[in-house]
Amino acid sequence: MSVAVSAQRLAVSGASDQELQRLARREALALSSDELRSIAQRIGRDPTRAEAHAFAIQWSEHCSYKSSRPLLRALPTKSADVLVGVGEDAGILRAGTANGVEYGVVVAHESHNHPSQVVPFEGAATGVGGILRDVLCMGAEVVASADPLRFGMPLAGSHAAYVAGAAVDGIAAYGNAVGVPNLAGDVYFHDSFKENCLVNVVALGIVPIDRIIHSRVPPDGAGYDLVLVGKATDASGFGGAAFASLVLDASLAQSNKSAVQVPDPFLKSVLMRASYAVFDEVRARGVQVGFKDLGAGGIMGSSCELANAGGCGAEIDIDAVPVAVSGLPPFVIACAETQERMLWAVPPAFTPELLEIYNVRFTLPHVSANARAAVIGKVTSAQRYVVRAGRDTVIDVPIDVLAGPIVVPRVAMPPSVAAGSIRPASPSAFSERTATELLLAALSHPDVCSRRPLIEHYDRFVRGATVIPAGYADAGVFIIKRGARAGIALSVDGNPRYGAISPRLAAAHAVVEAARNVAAVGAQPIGLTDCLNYGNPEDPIAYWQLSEGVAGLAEAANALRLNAPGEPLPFVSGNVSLYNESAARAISPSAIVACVGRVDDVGKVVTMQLTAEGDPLFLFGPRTPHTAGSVLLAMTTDETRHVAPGDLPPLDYAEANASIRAVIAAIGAGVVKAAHDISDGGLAVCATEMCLGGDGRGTIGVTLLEPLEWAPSVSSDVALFGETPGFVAEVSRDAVAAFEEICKTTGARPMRIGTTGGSRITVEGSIDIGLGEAADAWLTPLVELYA
Amino acid sequence: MRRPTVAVVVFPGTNSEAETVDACRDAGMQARLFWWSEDPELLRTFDGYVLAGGFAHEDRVRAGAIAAKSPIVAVIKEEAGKGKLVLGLCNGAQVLAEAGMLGPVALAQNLPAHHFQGLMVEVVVDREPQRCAFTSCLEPGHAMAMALAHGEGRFTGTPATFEQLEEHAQIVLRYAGAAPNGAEHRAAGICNDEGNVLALMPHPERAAWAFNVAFDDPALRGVDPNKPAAAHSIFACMAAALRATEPSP
Repeated sequence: MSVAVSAQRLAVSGASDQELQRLARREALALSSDELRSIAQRIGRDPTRAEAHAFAIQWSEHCSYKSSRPLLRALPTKSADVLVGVGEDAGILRAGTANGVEYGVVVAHESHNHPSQVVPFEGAATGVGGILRDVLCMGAEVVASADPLRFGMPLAGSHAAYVAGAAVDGIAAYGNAVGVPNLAGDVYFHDSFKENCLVNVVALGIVPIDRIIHSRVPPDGAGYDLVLVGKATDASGFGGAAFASLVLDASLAQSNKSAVQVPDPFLKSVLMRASYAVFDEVRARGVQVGFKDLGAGGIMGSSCELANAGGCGAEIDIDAVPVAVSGLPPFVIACAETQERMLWAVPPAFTPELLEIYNVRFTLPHVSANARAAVIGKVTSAQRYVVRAGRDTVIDVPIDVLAGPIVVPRVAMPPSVAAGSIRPASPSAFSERTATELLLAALSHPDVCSRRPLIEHYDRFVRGATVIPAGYADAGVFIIKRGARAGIALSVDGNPRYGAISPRLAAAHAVVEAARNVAAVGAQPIGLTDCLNYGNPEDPIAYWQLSEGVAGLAEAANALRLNAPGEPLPFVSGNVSLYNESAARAISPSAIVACVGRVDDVGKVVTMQLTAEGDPLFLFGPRTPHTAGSVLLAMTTDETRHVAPGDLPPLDYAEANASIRAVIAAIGAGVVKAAHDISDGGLAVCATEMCLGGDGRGTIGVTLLEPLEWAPSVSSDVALFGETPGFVAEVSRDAVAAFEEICKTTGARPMRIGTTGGSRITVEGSIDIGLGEAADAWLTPLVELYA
Repeated sequence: MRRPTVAVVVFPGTNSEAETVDACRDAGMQARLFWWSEDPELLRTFDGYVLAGGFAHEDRVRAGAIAAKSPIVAVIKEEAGKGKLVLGLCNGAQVLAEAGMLGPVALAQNLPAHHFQGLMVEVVVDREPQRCAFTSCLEPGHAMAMALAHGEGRFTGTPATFEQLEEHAQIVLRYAGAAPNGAEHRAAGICNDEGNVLALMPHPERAAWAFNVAFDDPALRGVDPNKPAAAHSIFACMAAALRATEPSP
């Protein structure tokens, strides 16, 4: 094929390393000299400026997964429940039937860590905005979001406190305005996130399974129109993907700000509704279409991937792109990451209807200056990606080279363990404080205390489909369609205290806990999505952490066999966020996992709150002596000391499978009336939260038997505060036999640990606290931060 | 039984239209979305109107201020003057206040929070429910869970205004405890003096079915999750009141 680029080319061939580095700096290209040479070699000539920028984005870690791709192959990705697996804008799981229609639940997970550290409000808001488009572009109605957050310790007046506050405000401002309820989320405060916060976001959608739209040009799509929809293109976010793939440097904060996009939830709200109208029309006319979010690399990234995934090429006319300002260079228009834009590939006969819906019926040009739907190019049968601007052809490259995967081999090296590592404090070291004092301290620990002051910034009830709002149970639940009974549960997990000790175990624990959380409301776990937050992959230790994290995810997801055919729990989507470190430190390796669960009857779900007096409480999961990474240890010892991975609570997958199956079945049968998983703060905190309930106003107390009776092999403090996984369940006092029968069927061996009732939390021989005192300790710590 | 027609108005930025339509339909009304790009004159054929929640026109200037100046609201105001029913929910209530359809009552930023608050609240029917179409089928003291979701939902006005509202029993719905948003006189819903226009800040349509509220009420476990919950009665009252009037020509 003859090469017809008419734009000026960059002098790459024959240049020295030094000259290429200078060139990259001058052109603000995040490319190494080797990568520049590789581009020239692959396209057979020196690249134009636009081509170099296009490759810099496509080959960024953010877009290419060049470091993580080989590792991710270890994750299970298939099961009977998977409708669309990894590789499109979002994955889709079989959700169930509602009012005679079979639905899929669309699952996407993203991070917006660097932008949120630099400008927390806008950074966090655009993180929400981006993920909503990923879900929307599968043809789905966007129905829920969840926000896993990791901040530095929020000392009053600190920058970490500012980030923790403003990021939540940004999430709330965006999600509340577009009307997507917040269903779940978590927040941890850990010093390793002081200069590099983590703002991950999960979003869910629902779509009738015969209406799924794919992120690719459909077969026979050559000749289709490419229609750009949304906000007028400006220079905002130019270089965003490259920015996401750099180590944060505080001194560059100012220049990095221009790489952060500007959120517009108001326009998004209209775009979503207009797109729903288009979905109806697509369905009514039976046309085949492709639809893709504009994220990293803007028009270029989206159009080249949409066409390439369909085995086609594309031609883009830059002059046809609606712009917000004149005079932008073509490569900026092509690659800017202006928010609130999407790209359709539609047959030309459908184009007038598409333009009418967005521009006339939903009046996009009146909603935001120069926002509109506009034809900006064509899908071609030639396997080339071509961009023209005026009389110039600024990009003309083989499309599979630009869109295709690249892999960069990385070196993994475990950190050397400091000589004389200190074992965790022995149980006797906790005895200086009474168990009552420890419980009160645990309840007000930043990783344990009530998230209510934060959660109440979010709209959890918009759409009128919420069944369990965030904060009331281990997972949030929504109904798929009113009038039906099917629902979906969602939970997120990932413990940074564990990540710092063992990236592998932390990741594995995150998978199992996410599945437990979903089960604790009575939902069947059906799939996972992950966001892998790690440091610079060029650093062998950070790369080792990443590889260990993925190995842990794979181990746990393969070990959980919860559906009827006994298949592994599949990952259907995910995100990799590397370079999460600052000059000061690397973050705690953080594999953050979300689990989606299927609810057959939303009338049967339970929360963590106790429902009646005189019911027996049962414990699933025997207590073990392991205390590393626990809140107990964080409260009582110097957290920075080294502990060995073997000191973390072990994962007993057989126990997890049996317990999870039993809890789901027992909730479905109506014999378990409340359930809560044991995590931060251990069993004592778990039982207390069951008394207090989501809003802290619960009035039913508990009396637990002496720990010696249900955890004879560990000390009382470890039994009460150790974080070995498990559940506590309230069993209907009239249905204990039925409960035991269900447990026998799944192989679970719950132990009776106490009884509900009274207005105090009592543990025979150790703890005695009134519910009011416990509620005060639990409810108040975050009030000031989120006032 | 006659099924009255209701327009659920959608402005750019409205986000609660779908659940509002469903709540109306479940109360036996024929409800349809009315989009901002439609001809406002078409509104005159409907028996009643619901202004749904959200952030109309991005709440620029003040919440509800721009929508209140729209031709759509001008038509609705005229029709309300003829006695037709108008329900404003959250942002819709803000639009009604901005349009002057409640008299000298305003909605100001929540206090002491100064920010958006999202939580389930309990709302109680006041002493003269029959004076307002949307509470006319309820008993005084009837309590309903509703979802509060706003940053500017504090009903406020001069002491004289509130004295008059109390005298005329126009504060037909109040928060059960202290108003979470600092509203004067714990006002959650205020009607006009004629009783055919209600501005309600918390959302009944987000707590309209048993599945919405069972998480906080174990007594509802095992009940049909799609059974109407307490707050649905606002729509039931609207339907009953509309049925009792002549259909719109």
